[in-house]
Amino acid sequence: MYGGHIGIALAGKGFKSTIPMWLLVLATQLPDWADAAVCSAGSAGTSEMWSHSLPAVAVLGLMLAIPYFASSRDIAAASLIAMIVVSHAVADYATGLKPTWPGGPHIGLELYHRPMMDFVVEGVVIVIGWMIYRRSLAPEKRQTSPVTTLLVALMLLQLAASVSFSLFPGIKKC
Amino acid sequence: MMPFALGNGVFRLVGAMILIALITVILDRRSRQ
Repeated sequence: MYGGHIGIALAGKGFKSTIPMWLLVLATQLPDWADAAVCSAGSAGTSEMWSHSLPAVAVLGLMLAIPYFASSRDIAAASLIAMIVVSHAVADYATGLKPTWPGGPHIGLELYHRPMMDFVVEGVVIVIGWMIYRRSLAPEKRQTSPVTTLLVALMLLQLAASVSFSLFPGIKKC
Repeated sequence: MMPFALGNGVFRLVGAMILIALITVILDRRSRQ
């Protein structure tokens, strides 16, 4: 999943507006950043196990949530951050084929092989997340240009990603 | 299409993540001004 992860971060902002947006975006992307780091370190064959398996996302979620709780003393916000990290793996089970745990099966619907369906599913997640996100804004700011531009930009980026999956299938991440 | 179509896999992954993260954070900030 690509833009859909940001949709989940937007929903997180709608539920807990005190969490900075940059932290919510980091939380929702953290397994992919871990994947890129492990890939760059040369462990291509095991990068997804270290970044996207259920034990991996649980550890990554705690790595972000515990320091946030230590600084904010907000257990609800820290729990939400951990859940958003874990949601990354759950969302990727829809679009990709990801590991579950060491020795466990790889599961997923592999929507990346059906780019139009991928765009529809991720687009729905973006729109729902954006609608929840708007609750974090004052009522008079919910119809402003930046708010609308955010939705349009995310949908265009997702369209570009889905089209690239169609035009360039099979390019390895590592 | 950049960064979706250019470079190796890690470059594409990191570039696409940075792009969408920056746009989201900047537009969120402008939405609150």
